[in-house]
Amino acid sequence: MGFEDVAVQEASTARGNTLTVLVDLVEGRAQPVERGQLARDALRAASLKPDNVRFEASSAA
Amino acid sequence: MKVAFGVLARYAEVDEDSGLINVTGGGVDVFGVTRLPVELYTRFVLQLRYPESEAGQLRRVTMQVRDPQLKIIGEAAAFEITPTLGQYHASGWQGIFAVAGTARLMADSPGVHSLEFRIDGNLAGDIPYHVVEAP
Repeated sequence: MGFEDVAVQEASTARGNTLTVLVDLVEGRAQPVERGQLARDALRAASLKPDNVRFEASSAA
Repeated sequence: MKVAFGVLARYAEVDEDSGLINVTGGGVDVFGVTRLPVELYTRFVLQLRYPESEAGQLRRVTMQVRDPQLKIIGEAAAFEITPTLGQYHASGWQGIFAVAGTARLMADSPGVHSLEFRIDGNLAGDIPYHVVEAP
């Protein structure tokens, strides 16, 4: 699962005082997504941990 | 405009109606990866604060990653925001803008990296994180 698999509705600009955004710092692009359930779905879909990441932690551990 | 705080997390989203930030597993600053180079995904949240006089002005937020040698790796990405003072804004307070997102990052080597935020080209904050090999 990657960004290319996430169907999102692009927002032309941020509205209000919040923004949900998908940021690709490998390809160099950022994609704001619309408010509401669609934005939450896009975030969750793009949040799957890939196999090459063994763990995420805090240095406070 | 500055980054008041920013964290990486297992999951994060911003509630558009209340402006509140929902975070699960916040404070991630270590990634154990099975191999290098690696691409990884992380969630992040930012709270931006700005003087009242900057309300209504278009701002360009740029994100980029620096490796342990402070070299920029990957490609910078930018998005634009136009913050407005909210309905509960009190005169004299700073304005607030909340950002939540998912970022795709890369790392070529182990060590401390930095996710850097620039606003209109000026450094506004960064989130350091450590990439360790965990075969």
